[in-house]
Amino acid sequence: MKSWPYFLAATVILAGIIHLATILMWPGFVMSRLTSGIEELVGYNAPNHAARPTSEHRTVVRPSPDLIYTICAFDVSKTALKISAPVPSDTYFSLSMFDDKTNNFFVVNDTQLDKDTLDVVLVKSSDQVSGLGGAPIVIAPSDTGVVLFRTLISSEDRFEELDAIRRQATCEAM
Amino acid sequence: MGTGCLRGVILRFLLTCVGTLVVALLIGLGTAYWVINSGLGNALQNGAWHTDPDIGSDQANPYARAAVARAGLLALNKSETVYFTAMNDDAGEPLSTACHYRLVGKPLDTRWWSITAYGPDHYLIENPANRYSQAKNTVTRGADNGFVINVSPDGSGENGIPTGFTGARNDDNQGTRFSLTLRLYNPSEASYSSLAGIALPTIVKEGCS
Repeated sequence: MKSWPYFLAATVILAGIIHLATILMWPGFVMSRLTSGIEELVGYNAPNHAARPTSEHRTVVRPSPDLIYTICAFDVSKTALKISAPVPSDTYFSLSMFDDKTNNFFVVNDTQLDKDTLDVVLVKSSDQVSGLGGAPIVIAPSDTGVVLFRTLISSEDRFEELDAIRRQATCEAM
Repeated sequence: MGTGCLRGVILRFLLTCVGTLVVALLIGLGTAYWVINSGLGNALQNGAWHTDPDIGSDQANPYARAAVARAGLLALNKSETVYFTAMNDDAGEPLSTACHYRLVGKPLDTRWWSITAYGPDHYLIENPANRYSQAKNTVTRGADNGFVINVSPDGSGENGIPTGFTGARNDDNQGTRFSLTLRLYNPSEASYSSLAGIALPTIVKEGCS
């Protein structure tokens, strides 16, 4: 009996499994690499005020050179995270959060805020929400991930002012 | 069957198993690599521009999520920001750093927009002017409030974006491929509800070095 049809079938099935496993695992691998890189710079649950993107920037692909970014790698497995930032006037500003599979599970921008400061508490699950000072609660779908502040450089004249404001953003373990 | 013959059968079986595994690895990893490097979402096309409305969303299928992890990590969902990417011009030819492209656009119904050039590695392209993009707050506009952006090796012309091509590098004398990303921040509901129908800038090749 010829055995090559069995090996051909095994090759196709195995190739399919390897293909799907790679596709499914790739986002988690990329996020893990990103959070590890931030951890090496500032640790978990602390802000990294990245320099304005240039051609030498090699942290995150396809950065916008018109924005300045502050990024925190979060780990809420043992503690909640208090996130605060002053909201700059007359320019685009947003806070976004990404889980360990790259999903954007939360975003809020300056036009949706009625105060000049942003305060949010990020928790692992709803059983941690008591006693957190009344700040809005966001539930993280994964223990680790990334918090990202974006500030638009609305004009070059405002760069230093906007840079100073965004450097006041904090991510603190509670 | 003699012992030598049995050994030969077992050896051939083991070699075939190893061959099967190696070929499966090559095919599985190769096709996954091709998908992951296929660009920032190709589910929807509008002129030369492509996007996937599920970018940033947990509704994104595994293929879209894998491609975004490679070429658009930390992308926002479409109500906050829509990302269109162009790898080719309006004629369907790949964008080359050795060529001059003229982008002509009408006013976009969004709070803020920008167009940025990226190299094949998905990072900003080195150029002497350190200029990588044009945006709603930087372009000069025509009488109809529309705009023209010139993407060319030296970034010359109205609202220029340089691609840094000089022809001097041995590995780059034909130019390299690049891509453009159009970001629409806080697009109107009408815009993000009809991504295939909104008027996006045209991309026409003017010539090559």
